[in-house]
Amino acid sequence: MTPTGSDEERVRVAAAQAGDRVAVDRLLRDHQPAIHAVCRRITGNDADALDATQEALIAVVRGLPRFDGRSRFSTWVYRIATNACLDELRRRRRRPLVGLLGSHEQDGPGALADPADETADSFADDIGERLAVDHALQQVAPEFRVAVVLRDLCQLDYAEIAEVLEIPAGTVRSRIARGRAHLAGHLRNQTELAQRQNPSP
Amino acid sequence: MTDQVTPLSDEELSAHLDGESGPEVGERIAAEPEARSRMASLAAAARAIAAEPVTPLPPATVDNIVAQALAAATEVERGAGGAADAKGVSDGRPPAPLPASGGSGDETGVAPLAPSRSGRGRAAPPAWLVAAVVLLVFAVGAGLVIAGRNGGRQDAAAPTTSKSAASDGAADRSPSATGGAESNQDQGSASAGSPSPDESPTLVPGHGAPAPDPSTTVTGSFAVPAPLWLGLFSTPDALRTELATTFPAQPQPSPETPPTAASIGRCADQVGVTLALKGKPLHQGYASVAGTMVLVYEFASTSFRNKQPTTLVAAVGAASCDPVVTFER
Repeated sequence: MTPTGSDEERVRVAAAQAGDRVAVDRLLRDHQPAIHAVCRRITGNDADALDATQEALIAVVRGLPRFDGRSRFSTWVYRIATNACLDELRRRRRRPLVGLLGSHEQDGPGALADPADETADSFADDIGERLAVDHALQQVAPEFRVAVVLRDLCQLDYAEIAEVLEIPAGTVRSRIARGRAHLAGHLRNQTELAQRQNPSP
Repeated sequence: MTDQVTPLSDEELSAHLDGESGPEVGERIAAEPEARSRMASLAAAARAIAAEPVTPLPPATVDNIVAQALAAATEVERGAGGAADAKGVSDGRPPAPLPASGGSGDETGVAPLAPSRSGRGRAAPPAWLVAAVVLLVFAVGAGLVIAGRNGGRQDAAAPTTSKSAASDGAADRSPSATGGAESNQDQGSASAGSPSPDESPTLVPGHGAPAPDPSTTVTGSFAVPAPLWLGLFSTPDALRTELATTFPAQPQPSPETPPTAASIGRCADQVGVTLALKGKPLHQGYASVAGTMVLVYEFASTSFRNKQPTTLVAAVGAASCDPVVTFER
């Protein structure tokens, strides 16, 4: 299989594997934003995302000697990041912060900041939106959440996601669909509750 | 006989969104309003994830975590880490020999900065140390249980929300005075099984019950005021209007059963972590909004508009800490 990815990245990866620390540093900095974005969406909070990002970067460095170039480097990195996030979620289950995990309760979803309020600070609105999406995403089971994040945030195609998660493409298709369906349901519940609590005059 | 057409599944609709379905699916979507509606819902969910940006890490934080990772490389080269962490690599091959550090590139290496946040990159501690720590934690927990049984009134909070908070060190991750108090109090109720019907919540200001002993609601070095009953509101906007300038200072009688310290601490932690707020709430209270119990917090914050110190008020549902109203003064 011909390795894919830019020539520059292939050269940098080879240099990193040969012990070039500058190349390692560059690779980590290039991929850190994507790793952090994935971790933030999967874990749902900044603290766990930072921990998972740190773990992923360390795993990238330690695993560099074994990267054989059969897949794209970014695909390999996403796999590491995903595993780090799932490990973080497992650790979190052992030290529960119930509100962060989400309890699949049906009476929970709350209203966003009142969109009809003309004086609403846009910053507060952004906070409300962020909380709403985070909250809804945390209600989705981890295996579906990961698939949806890799597809809709990272824009990986089904084949790449299958490679990252090491599952068949058909399973990827199913998990993405179920993740989106669950997320849509939770977001709809939040909107409906908001409308009940803020009825139109 | 009428052929019953099987509705398109979410899987087919979702795959069509991603261009991973055949042309016949597109034709059916065009012809079926129900399918179009369902696909719009799935598309909205996909957009919601893509639309919400993830705040990048500050440059200093990036420098730190990259340095930590490079420090791991140093350990690998020195042989201290042994076989590298194989979690992220699944090619099934045995570990390749580690490259010599005398290769091309920067010979000076990178000195590690501050130790890693959780120390997970280091070698495992000796077994005897792990056993000693476990025994110590167990002894402390047993002592708290005994103290709880011999103490005064206990909070009747659900044990599942707090029983592990002290035992596995989660309290040091984002310590909450109320959460810490809850863990101390609930050692008794947790070990005794279901809470006694005679037990009543400790945080009951203005509820007609005797004022709680402050020492049972506050632990650690940070004291958070007991939650205040804020009133009944028909809409979140009404709550926002009430709290637009200040948080009430005086307790008032509450017709509602107050929330437990565990639920207050849980939602406070979630709001604080999600919004990256430093410190504990300055004030906290509870209210009924359109018949739903909400928990309300006031945090010290920095204004997004003018970078000046201000306060941020966040109201969340008591059941699952979902957002109700959030605004900055």
